[in-house]
Amino acid sequence: MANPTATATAAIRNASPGPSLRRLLGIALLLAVWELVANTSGTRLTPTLREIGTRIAFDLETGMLWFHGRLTLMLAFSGLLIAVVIGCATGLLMARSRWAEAMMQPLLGATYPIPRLALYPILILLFGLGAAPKVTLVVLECLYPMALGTYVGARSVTKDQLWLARNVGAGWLRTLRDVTLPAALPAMLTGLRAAAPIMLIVIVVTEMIGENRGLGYMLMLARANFEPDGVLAVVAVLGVLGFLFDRLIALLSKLLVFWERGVRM
Amino acid sequence: MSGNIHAPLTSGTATMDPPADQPQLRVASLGKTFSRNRKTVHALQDVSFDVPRGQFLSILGPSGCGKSTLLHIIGGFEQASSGSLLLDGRPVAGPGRDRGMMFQQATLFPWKTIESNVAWPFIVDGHKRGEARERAHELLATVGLSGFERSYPAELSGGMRQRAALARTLGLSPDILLMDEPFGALDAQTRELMQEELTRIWEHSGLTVIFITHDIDEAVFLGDRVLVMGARPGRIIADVDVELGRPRGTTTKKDPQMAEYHSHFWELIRQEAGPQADRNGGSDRS
Amino acid sequence: MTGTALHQPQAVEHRQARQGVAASEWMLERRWPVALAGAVTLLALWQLYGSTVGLPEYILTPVEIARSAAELTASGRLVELASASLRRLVFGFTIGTATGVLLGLLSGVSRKLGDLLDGPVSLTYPIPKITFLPIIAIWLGFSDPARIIVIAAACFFPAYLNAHAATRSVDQSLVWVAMNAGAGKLRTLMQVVLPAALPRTVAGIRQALALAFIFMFATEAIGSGTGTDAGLGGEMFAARTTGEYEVLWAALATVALLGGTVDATFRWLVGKLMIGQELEAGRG
Repeated sequence: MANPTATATAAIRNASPGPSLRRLLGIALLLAVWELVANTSGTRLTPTLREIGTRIAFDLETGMLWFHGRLTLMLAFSGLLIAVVIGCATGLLMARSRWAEAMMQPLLGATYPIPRLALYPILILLFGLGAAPKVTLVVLECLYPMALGTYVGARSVTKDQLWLARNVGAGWLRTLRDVTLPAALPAMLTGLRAAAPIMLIVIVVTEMIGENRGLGYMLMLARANFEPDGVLAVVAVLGVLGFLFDRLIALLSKLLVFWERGVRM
Repeated sequence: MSGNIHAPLTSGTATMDPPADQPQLRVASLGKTFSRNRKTVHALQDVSFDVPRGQFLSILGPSGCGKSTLLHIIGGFEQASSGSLLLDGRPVAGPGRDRGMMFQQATLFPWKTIESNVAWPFIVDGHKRGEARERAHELLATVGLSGFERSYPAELSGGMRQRAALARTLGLSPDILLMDEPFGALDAQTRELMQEELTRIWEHSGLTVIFITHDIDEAVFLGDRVLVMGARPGRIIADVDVELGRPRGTTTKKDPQMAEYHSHFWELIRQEAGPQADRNGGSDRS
Repeated sequence: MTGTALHQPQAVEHRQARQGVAASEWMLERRWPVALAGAVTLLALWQLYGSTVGLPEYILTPVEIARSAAELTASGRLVELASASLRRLVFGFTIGTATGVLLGLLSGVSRKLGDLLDGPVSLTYPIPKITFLPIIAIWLGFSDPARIIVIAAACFFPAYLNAHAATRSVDQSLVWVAMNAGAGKLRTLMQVVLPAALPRTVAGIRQALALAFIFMFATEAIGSGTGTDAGLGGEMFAARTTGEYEVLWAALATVALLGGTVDATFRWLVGKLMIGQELEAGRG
């Protein structure tokens, strides 16, 4: 899969200072343009970077960010956790049973392009406003990457590996634990990496729609109060959170799937 | 020496043993058919042979002759369509530790160390972790892998991985070793070394081995006896005892008898596969 | 069963059993009959439960949904709502995807441009794009342009990232073959690099399409307007508060139908195009 020439070129690219400088230059350019616009316009509509930073510090000091952020993250992670459990179970079932596979695979494919978000009003009618419809929506959205990742991973177990387990006399539970799950782990983590940003989007959107708590509410509150610096402060915080989740899962993959970075002969 | 080579047998067994001495494995008119694209393919047809205890049996055949399918049926992984398969007089019902299987690929778990891979069958069998590790160490010493216990499969060469797989299979304490072209994916030099290593280990073990290969020299060098299979339908076209002395080693490979066996088997396979090879390019292995 | 000799009678029995096996095998092989049967059964159970035991007033049965969808389509209301939504979707998707693909391909080909864009993209990529809506709404209000910009921003990223990666991972030997054949830079780009990058780029566009639907709905649901301008998303939330449940369900069915149909059409179209490309390559 990895093209040796490409890998080598990539290594060289990363090693030479020019490109990484250019990369920083790109970011600097973006921020400079923003600063220029902010300073020349001189209105509150476009706050400077310094103003946004001050606002983040202020929101941290008053405890607003912590209070709303904690609520957002709690709901988000509860949803993700449930999605991981149900998604893994579904994916394993699909890989194991041909009937489950024939039933679920086309259904997942056909419903993938339909925004589950459209179910939110129905979920509110069912569960009332509050945590339940939000968590349910996060589960519904994150289920797809988790189930498909686990399915793909569990199917990557080779026939020989399964025959070996039968030869050794391993039962289905032992085979699941010692063979299928480790083999499926890389693809499951890929699914998790796809699910994390979706989780953040869904929870923020639901909080932006008629809610009085959470980071999404903070965004809408700042907009209603006509405070662009308040909106951008939350945007920045969400960006940092999204970045951290992604790095965290990447690190987790590196630690858990240690055997894939070993030398290949 | 050519007088020692039996005339090719179309089917049936070359039993010389008295009936009282029951063969360890008896394969009787085994058949395997499956349908592909609404056509019935005869992977195996009327395959019969006996394997006495302690014999090293090589099964030689071109690709697509069903030799792997035959081994999979003996291993209990696939089911025959007809015929019977008796192990010590009892029908085979499924896979079991009495028949240790070695695959073409080493099939080591990449997330386990070599030691843990070899110890795994003991753990599954309910042994304590320390005991399993100890047994694994002994087995790894047998196959010459001492010092690599803590390595991961990805850090080992193909030949070393197959050694580890052999150690793991021996750990099942099988009565019969089933080997499905285990050296087929190795480079030529490593393959020769592995053949000599396997001979050495086998000559000390008293195990029964059924070894699948498409390499004539490998079949002759390793085997006490060679079954030659033909394709479409897969069937036995010759059953030959190899009368090379034991122990075998590097000198055996230079034995002029080797060349005679080689040309004899090559003739058989060419007669069988020659005209067919042009018509059917494909292989029926999945 | 191995080991037991199969006698003739057993073989005959086997053949009779095979009829049933063949039918289920046919379904399992194709998969969709099983899924279709499952989906139809689910809808039937829903309908049956609704018409016998009864459901809460805000949950309609499939037949009721179909009826109200037909009525609202006939009255023209659903069509107006859907066209308002689709207009935003089409503009946002087209602008975002076109920009993404173009910049992605260019930055894949040109190392310098790629490095320059890499920073800003990786800086903004982790931000949930829906958060752009309130800030843009401060500047432009909750208007069509604001929504279109957010949809475009969401579509930009998968389009850009996939096009970029697709161009970067084009097999180097293909490029060498073209250069060896004396093809110029432009010819190599147009006839080797772009076709080779097409599959992954298209996959990125499909991801953008799915996101466009999500963001179409989300931007309408947040700070929604009134009347037909609300679009399907805005109307669904309005209908929830006013208790017009048949409008709510009809709009939901329309969103689902549109999402499914557009994606299926896209895939069908791509299938046609890809085969064309293959044939072209075969001829040349």
